[in-house]
Amino acid sequence: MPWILSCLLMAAGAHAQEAGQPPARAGLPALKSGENTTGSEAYEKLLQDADRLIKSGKPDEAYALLEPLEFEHSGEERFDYLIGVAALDSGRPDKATLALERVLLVNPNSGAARLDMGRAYYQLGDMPRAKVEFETALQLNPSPAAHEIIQKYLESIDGQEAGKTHISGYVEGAIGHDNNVNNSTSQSQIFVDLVGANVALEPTNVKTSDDYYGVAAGGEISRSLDSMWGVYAGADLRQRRYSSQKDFDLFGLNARAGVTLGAKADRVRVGVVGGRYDLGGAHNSDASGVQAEWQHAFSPSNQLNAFIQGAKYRFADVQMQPNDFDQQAIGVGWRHVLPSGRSSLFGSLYCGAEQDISTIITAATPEGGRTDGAKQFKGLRFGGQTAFGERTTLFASGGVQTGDYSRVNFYFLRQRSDRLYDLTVGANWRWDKLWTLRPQLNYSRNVSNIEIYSYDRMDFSLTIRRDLR
Amino acid sequence: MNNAKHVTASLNLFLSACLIVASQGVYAAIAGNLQFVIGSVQAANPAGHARTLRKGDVVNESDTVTTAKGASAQIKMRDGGFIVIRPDSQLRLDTFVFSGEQDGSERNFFSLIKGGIRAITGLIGQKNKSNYRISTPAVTIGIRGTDHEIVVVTPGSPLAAVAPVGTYNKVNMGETIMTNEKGTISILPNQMGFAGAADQMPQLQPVNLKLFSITPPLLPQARAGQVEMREGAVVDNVVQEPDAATGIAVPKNTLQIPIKSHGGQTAPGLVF
Repeated sequence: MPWILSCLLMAAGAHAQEAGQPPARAGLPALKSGENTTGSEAYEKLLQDADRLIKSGKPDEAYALLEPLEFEHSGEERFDYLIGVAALDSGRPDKATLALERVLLVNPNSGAARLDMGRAYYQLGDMPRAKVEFETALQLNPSPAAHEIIQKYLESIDGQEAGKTHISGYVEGAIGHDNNVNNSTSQSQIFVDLVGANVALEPTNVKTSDDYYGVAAGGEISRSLDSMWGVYAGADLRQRRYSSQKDFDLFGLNARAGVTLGAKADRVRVGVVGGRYDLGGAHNSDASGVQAEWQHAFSPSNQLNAFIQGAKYRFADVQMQPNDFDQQAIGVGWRHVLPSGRSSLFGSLYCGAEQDISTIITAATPEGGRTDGAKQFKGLRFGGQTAFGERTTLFASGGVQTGDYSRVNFYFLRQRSDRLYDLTVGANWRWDKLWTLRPQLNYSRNVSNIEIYSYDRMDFSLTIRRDLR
Repeated sequence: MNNAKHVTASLNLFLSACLIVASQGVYAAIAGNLQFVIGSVQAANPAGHARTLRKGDVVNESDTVTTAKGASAQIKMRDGGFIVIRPDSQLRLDTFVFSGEQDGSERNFFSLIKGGIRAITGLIGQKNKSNYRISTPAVTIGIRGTDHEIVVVTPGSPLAAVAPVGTYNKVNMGETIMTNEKGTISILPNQMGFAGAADQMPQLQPVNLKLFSITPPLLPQARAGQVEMREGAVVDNVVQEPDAATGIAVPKNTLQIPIKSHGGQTAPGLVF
């Protein structure tokens, strides 16, 4: 019987040997001695290819390249960091934390891995751990650009912390030159079809330029009630005073309040808005309304926005009250962060309607309402911004909006139709964490089939801003 | 001769049977392979034979894996799941059955004796939820397709200095169920459940970072490098707030200036 025992031991031994080998199935990569590719030219090329793919905005491809080798090369800091960021940038934050955890276990002082680990936790909605990693990264001598990004994450995390109140604000001062303070035509005489003759316009209705200075301030307070719900309230005031054209001094006060709902990929913000506007030191108009906005992040680099709003605009001056109107608008926008991570693009489409609601009867409005009646409008906007160096961001945006009115104008005997174009370019130079200098140029042009409504306007300003956090 | 052949054949059959029985008796199914090891990690089989684990080694059904202080391991399970074992922890792989398919026979039952793990489920439990569970002294944890972390604080352990004794379960993705003799609670992402003992009802608590901070502290050595924003980083939209004029709202021009003809107070006033 000893041979039987030998057989039994051999059988057991065979299994022990089998248990010492990697499995031959279930998708695990084969790990044979002598086949470790670490240090080989092919492996080096693969890492370089993965790095290049990540930098060129193809993290999915980089992940697909690295993932089959993860078992073999786990524990190598360079490999783990690359597969970690490939996972992170391709929307796999859970996988990213596994890889970046390995990096940090091998090298706890890897600032890059700390920063990306913070981002991975942020994407997982794990704000307490994200905060720990970002705060640790701040201890590792971050560059100004990295410091700014980390601060933005930390502010965002603070804003989402349940039961915590978040307050932010700003003050601005500006000087500038406006070549059309009154949005008016450059013609001093307009042909009025009703009378069949040219009519001279008041100087206040002819294009006029002036220098100005302005101040602005605003703030918002928000509080997260729990992981889903929050409340907010904020206000902005803006004043512009012209050197000599005092009739066109502007003052605006806008306020808002509402609730936020959602977390991570989806957020909804619903609230009320109100505003008061003065012109030339006199009360011009008031606005009040409701608006809702939905943001959906398809990925860290792609975000959809949609909004709907309804508002009432009422004029204070009796002479202007025939222009009272209600407005409804709906729109959708897209924001895309370019692979460089330092630039983003956006585009949006919107449409809406205005109803003239005045019951005041005038010669031009025998049935009440506005001279030009109700309005249908639609528009598109596009733009982008890019970081230039460590302290400067360049931005540009443009838009076109069409407006078509319902009523034949009493004076000009035709239905008004406008095309409004605008273009803004500028830069934000942050010489300090809280201070920004912004030169900005804005050009707008309204082309109307009724000449009196046509104008163009160029406005250059230099603004200094202090953020309050 | 025939008798001799018959005896030989019978002996062969008996031997084969012995081999089959023997192999089933000592065979332990392979549960997974170590993808990453740092520090001292050991596995012991039910017979008490311990072995030091290195990258690539297998862990078998019924093994108890123990990590030393400062040690950690990542196990890639045969069903595609992952188990991360934190420092100073002990995990027993009670049952692991996986034929490669979710045919109802698959099983993945663990017992976390002390310390912490992170479990990312694979195929087991995807279809048959009850076939995956993790037991601790205080509670049984079931899953609904998930990535979660568990810490068992035992009396006298270093963790007992920072948190009460019991089982803590934090969910990263998906959902888990904590059950004991007192009842059941559901844990959703970024929530933490706690059960002090088997006779204490599990409850939700704020996440205890002292238990779930898994990255090591900074080393005191000189920090020569600088944290840079890596080229190509996809920066989340949350920190890509537009600088100016990039909103999607309708441009507002509520300030309307009265347009008057020269000497605009003529009757009727030409207010366009």
